[in-house]
Amino acid sequence: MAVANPLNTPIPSEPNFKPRSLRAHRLLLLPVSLAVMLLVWQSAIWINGFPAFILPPPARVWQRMIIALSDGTLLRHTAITLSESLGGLAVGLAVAAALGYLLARSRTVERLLAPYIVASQSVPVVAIAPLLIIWFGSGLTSKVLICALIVFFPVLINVIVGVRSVEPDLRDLMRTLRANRWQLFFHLELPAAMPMLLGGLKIGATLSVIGAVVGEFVGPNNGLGSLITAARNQFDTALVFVAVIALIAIAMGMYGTVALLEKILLAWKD
Amino acid sequence: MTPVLSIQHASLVYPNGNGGLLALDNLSFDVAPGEFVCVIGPSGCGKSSMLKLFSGLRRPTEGQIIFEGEPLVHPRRRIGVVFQKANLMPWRTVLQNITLPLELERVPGEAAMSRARELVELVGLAGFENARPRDLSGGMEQRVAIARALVHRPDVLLLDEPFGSLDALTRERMHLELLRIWDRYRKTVIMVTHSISEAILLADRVIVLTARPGRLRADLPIRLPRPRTLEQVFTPEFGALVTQVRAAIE
Ligand SMILES: Nc1ncnc2c1ncn2[C@@H]1O[C@H](COP(=O)(O)OP(=O)(O)OP(=O)(O)O)[C@@H](O)[C@H]1O
Ligand SMILES: [Mg+2]
Repeated sequence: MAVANPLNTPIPSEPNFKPRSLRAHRLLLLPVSLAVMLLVWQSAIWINGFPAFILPPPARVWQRMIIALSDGTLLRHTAITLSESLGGLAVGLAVAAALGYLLARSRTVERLLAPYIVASQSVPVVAIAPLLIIWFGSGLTSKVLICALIVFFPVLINVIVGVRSVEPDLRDLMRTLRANRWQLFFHLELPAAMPMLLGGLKIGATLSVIGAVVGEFVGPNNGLGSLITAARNQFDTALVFVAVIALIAIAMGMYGTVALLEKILLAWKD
Repeated sequence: MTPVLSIQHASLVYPNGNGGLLALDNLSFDVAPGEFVCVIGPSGCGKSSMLKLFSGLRRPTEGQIIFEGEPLVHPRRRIGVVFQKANLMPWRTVLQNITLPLELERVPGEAAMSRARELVELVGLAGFENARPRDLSGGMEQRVAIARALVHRPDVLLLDEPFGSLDALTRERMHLELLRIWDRYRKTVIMVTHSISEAILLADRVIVLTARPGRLRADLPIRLPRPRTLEQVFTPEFGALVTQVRAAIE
């Protein structure tokens, strides 16, 4: 737009006001903490003389990772665990968002379903996982369902809180403007609940990876959880470490993606 | 002249634990087309509740609201509301907040934009089209709310203490702006206020309500010449009216 807009000039964000040296320190924080961790790890082996099948040294894990990468096993299992996590997150999110919206909008639905939903949370997913494996086999379906189950509750709660947090005055405003049901949802409820929805998604993203591993432990077939089980049975502890590192990478990647989405969608917040 | 809006024997009871809370009691008055009516009364006497009835957001427990000859049973697009709070959507820019009523009516984007720009000019917010509500002062927010209420050209404007939270200087500027807008479009206005001088400065008529439950205490015509200016506040006529309204309140 051609109109002069004084507010469009970028306002420096807080960190920029800090002295340069401080920012440099912050950038150094991660490599330094990594180095310290590796040192502690290596020292533990030097001091205690752990054999490699108890605690492999960092260099050994690194070599094992190169091997697992070059023969394709690591990528194959990572891809499987990633697709289970993403699938579960998508299913869990869809069901929780739809149900959460209904629960937030209707007291009747809430009275009807809330007891079951709360009761379901007292059963750990690990206890239900074997049932799902029996019913759906140890393929993708059961794993996706396990992820979805674990993702479901936190997202549901956040959606309910989000939709309930819509200001009644803004609802009144929409009513005076004769907004229909769809417009009310699209122009008010969805954007107003978005911060809470994305907050739930952030929690769900990491939980989903846990769900995938739980599923793979209970019904090993493919994926990083199965890889861990197989490696442990062969006392290939270095490979267990490699698989754990891959799991961390998946969780961080998914979390980071949601955080990025948050930055884009919630730019209006700050 | 037939009234645009009338409130007829309206009572409003809010349900509570013991038998309900009577907010308005048998309230009746008419508002003529193009009339500027200010409503004044003690805090908690039911002024906002009365506007809720006029806007169709709530229905009276007894009695009725008549809008253009027919009972008002739900909100109408032709009745615009400015709430006590600005009620802007924080995720929308100033311009997007103002176009909201047009978007809901599916007015094409270009037409909506140019209409919204007119209103941005009118309320003196040129240059702030793309600002977000969080970057605005309280007075600016309230002006956006007024622009939003005017954008789809409602015939009636309901204002609930729209300048309540503003400092004295901004308040005076807003008074002049509102008078200018009213002079230009001659809408029917019902405005709730706590300020006696604000009511007299703006209105053709000042309605005084009693403490809760709100009943009609007085209905005073304000026959000051228009267009009104801030200097009129210092005239003896103005002073006499202030005394009269104050007497009605106490
Ligand atoms: N939604 C509601 N439910 C129950 N009671 C309500 C509700 N809204 C208002 N009341 C009560 O009705 C009475 C009138 O409230 P209202 O907000 O209409 O007063 P008001 O004249 O606008 O007050 P103020 O000048 O402080 O804005 C008050 O006692 C209030 O507590
Ligand atoms: Mg009020």
